[in-house]
Amino acid sequence: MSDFQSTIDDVTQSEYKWGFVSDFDEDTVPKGLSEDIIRLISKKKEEPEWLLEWRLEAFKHFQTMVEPEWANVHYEKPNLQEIKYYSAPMSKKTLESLDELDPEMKSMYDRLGISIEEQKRLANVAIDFVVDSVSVQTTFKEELSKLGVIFSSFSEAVKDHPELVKKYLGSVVPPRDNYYAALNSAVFTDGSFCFIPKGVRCPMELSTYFRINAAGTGQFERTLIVAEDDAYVSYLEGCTAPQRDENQLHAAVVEIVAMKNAEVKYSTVQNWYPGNPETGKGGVFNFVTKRGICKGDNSKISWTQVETGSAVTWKYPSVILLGDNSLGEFYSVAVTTNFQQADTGTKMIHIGKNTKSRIVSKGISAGKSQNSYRGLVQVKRNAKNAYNFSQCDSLLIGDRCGAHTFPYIESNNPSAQIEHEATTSKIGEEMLFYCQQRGMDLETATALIINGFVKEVMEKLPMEFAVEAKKLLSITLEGSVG
Amino acid sequence: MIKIENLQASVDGKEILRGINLEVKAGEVHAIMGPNGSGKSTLASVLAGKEDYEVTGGSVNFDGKDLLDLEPEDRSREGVFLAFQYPIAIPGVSIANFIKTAVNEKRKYHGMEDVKATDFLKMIKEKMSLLEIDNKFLGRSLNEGFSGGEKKRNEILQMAMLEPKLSILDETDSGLDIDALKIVANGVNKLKSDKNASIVITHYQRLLDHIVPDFVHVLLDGKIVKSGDKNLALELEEKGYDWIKEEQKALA
Amino acid sequence: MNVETAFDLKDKLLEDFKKFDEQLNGQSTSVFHGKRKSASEEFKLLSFPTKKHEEWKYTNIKAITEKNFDQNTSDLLLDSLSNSLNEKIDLAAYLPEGLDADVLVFINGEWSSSHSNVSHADGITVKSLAVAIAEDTDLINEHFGKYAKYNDNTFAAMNSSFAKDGLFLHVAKSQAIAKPILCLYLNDTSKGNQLSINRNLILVDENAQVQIIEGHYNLNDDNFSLTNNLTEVLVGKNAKIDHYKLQLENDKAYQYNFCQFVQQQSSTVHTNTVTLSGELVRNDLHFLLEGEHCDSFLNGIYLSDGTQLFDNHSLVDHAVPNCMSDEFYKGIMGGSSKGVFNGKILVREDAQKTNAFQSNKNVLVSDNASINTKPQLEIFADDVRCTHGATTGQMDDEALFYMQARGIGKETARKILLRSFIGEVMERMNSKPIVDYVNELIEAKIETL
Repeated sequence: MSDFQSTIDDVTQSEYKWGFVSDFDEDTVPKGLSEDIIRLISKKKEEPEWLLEWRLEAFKHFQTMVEPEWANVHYEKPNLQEIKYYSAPMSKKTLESLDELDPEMKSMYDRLGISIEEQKRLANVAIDFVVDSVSVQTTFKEELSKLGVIFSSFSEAVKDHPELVKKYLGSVVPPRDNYYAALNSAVFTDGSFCFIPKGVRCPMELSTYFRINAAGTGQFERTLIVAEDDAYVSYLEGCTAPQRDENQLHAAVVEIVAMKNAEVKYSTVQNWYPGNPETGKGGVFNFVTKRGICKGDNSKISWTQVETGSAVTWKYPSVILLGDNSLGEFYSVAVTTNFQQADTGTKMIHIGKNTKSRIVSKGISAGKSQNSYRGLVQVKRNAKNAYNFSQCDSLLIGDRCGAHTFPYIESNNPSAQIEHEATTSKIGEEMLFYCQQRGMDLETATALIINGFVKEVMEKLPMEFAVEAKKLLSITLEGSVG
Repeated sequence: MIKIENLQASVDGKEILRGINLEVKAGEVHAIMGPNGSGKSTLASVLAGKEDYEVTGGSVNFDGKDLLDLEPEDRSREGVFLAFQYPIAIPGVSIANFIKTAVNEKRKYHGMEDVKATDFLKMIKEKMSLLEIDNKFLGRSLNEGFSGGEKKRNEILQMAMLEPKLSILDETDSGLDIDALKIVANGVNKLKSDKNASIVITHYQRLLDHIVPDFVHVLLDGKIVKSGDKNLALELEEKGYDWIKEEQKALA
Repeated sequence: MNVETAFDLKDKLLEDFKKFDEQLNGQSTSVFHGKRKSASEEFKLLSFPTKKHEEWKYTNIKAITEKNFDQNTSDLLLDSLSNSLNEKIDLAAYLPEGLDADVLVFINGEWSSSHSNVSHADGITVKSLAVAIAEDTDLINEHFGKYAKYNDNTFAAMNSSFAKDGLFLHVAKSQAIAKPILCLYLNDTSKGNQLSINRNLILVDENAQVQIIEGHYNLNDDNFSLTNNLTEVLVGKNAKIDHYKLQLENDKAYQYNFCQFVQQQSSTVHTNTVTLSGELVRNDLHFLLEGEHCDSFLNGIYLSDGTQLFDNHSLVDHAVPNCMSDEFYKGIMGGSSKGVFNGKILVREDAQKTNAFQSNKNVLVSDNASINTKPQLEIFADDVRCTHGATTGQMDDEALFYMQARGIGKETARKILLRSFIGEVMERMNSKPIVDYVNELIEAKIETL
């Protein structure tokens, strides 16, 4: 297998292609975490008093908490006093159109491969661009507002729809939920807000693009999605960061509320800088809390994620299945290479009757990376006829990586049916030989097999995203899988 | 087309092929028969270039090229096709995607452009109707949950699409009922021409009722010990292999 | 705050150890006692696990640690050994029919020679550990405490600090024991809450074969009992062990059980854990595969009702290449009982070509029963094939209906289905007399579910 080995080794040479720094003026606050900084952020954002109070309350609680250590990841804890909690590209005025964007920023987007010019032509995707701490541009706002759909940056939503933000903020992920959620609640700077009123099927994909640009900053965005009765929305999230030697902290919170018969699809392609491929130095710490609640009967929340970036990932998009007959789904592809570590999975909490959940997790580990699936399926006492099916497969490429599976299954109702299956294997030599016998070289064969391995998840992504995600996957594993 | 001379191979240090000599010319069908463990499947695997087998001696000349010197994928691109006895499942990879990839890899090797999607579809549909395969087949994951018959038909479909010079059918009849066997044999016969050749490896004679061989060889303990025409197969069917073993002993 | 301090079992046990240590006089400088002392030091540093401890997340042992338990401290000295009950116990109830075995009886953690019946054969040493400490000192000193680690395991440290009796079995090279070894651990709680510490050391040399059956029972239910078992098993090259553990204590009994198998090259172990009664049973079953081409089979059956809690933890540590492990556990929970399953397969960096399978299936038969299962894989080698699966659910309604449609009453049908559910594990057991015995017990238990 020496050929195969050398192609595996190539993977470590596949470079992060989004690692440039864009050079536009940034408006930042001094580094460090304190009540004063929180007050300063709140002031810069011209926030109402209640929100400042909410932040301070979260901060008060945060100070009593300790950083969790149960995840199967090892890293030097970030020094929270060394981080700048606010950084915004300086813009002189509110932009009327995309054409008014800072040319440097425009070229940044071009290099990200999400050229705004091109995005303008993509008629069915509305995008909110978030650079460092603030949202810089939201497209298609007008068109959406005609339907009553609110899609804006979080800051704008606080100004324009305070009653909605106040009602739902922290209702799914309370400020005290966990260490990083508390931190986020105290210092979050921007993010996206999206509200789909009763009976509306959002006609286009809503998308947020996150980018950490400034040095020494953390990104703490907050996303809130509310779908009223019978509403539908598909939401996409993408992210990148420049190549820097220090670790950057990303601690986001995403909350989703689905009312009666509502459906929310949330897709993520996460491609934060994973750190230096040779030394493991730098990279983003991606400590994210994502949770949705199926509040109404027959509601549905579906998480799909393709995770290729970040030095350390700690992330469990979850669904609380409160409404009867509600459905939660989690589809995940997590790829780790070089020195990356990922501890990711989901929680499905069955409370209502006839609730269903489905988990499909595909982990691929290469290089010296460690990839863990951690999942909880919990069936509460009254969740009659709850049903879960979980499939967790891991693929190992090379002999210096690890793949781990930690599924927790807690059933308290006799009529609940839970099935969990997991496999771990390498790409079989038999499979490779079969492909070779049909004329494919090792790279083509491996790519083909990996694409097959992740297919079930990729199919869940919206079309535009799936193409992007496939490309990303092949670039991430470039060399080893072509 | 292919000339095998004194081919010796072993696995994990155990010698399995002990000097095979065989020449196959274009337009010919050769059958290789032998009891379990005689080395039939090993021969197929060695010709296809499976890594588990170590070639310890001999040579294989394929249309002027040293076959043993080629990577497995290049052997395939040169026109050697192995229909596997146990085709492996590759989850999530559709038959259409798999075959298209294979066809294009071969075209690339021969300096040709990728096949146009519409042409490919047309071609594969033609072959499928030739082999009496349902259209739905194309979207299914490769060999996943396939019945024995489906797996073998899939192999023959790939053979039809890749148009090899030399096809090696490794126990293609195993696990097939008589109807499936007829369809598979029919497919092989339809693909037969004076430019290609086949080596049919089988344990039983019944496949040879449908794919009629020009030559029959008996493989015993890693050596071809007897060759003849199709009547040899019938004789084996009737008398088993013991008489050949006896004959060998007598010779020794 | 409160003047009255709650009773603390750990403090009490440390106090017991001090007394024990003082009583030993001459023994106190022996290598063996040195091991006990180190264990006690470790025990001092540890505390009894709470639900915050990941490995005890679902198992609350407050009911144990709030109670006072006494050991037979008066019998701690060697010379008072085999000084157990005067009255003869009728063992018939504990002996599986048709099982012709060498029987060793331990009452409250001490060997009872009068109840035991051991035949002697060349190359085979079967005796009380207490006797072996004196007679087979070299072997004991070499192996005792070497395989079962007690760091971070409070119960194992506790067992190791009080270890004094149990089974010592040594099967010499190429010996196959004709008769199975049956160990009966009996708790007598007539004098008060009883703590029984059983400590076993089993050495099976190259090419040797043995069948071991362990049965746990209570003689009476006057008071509570806590049984703490620790078994170390060294399985030599090509050796074969067929092991059964039958947990049949009463509803005033708590049991902790730690069994560590260490397998050398090409050895095979079948272990079968059957838990049918006891108020709280926690099993830690560990396998270390340190020689290539080992096979390990872990079978388990647990049927709980009332307020019982049965917790099966297992670890299969694939440290070397080319081994196979296959774990298959099934449970039925009724009443307001709880089942816990935690199976971990660890495949270390060099353990290429590992095949590891794990399956845990559960049926809940009452509204208040629950099951928590966590089948884990931790894989550090790439050329492996590991699968695990877990299911929980209720009985197959369609199968039930099918049987009803054929005229079988619902209750009967239900029992047949439960039996066949468990039957899949029973089929993996080799010993006919044990299978018959267990079947009968399962039958009876299913009647109550």
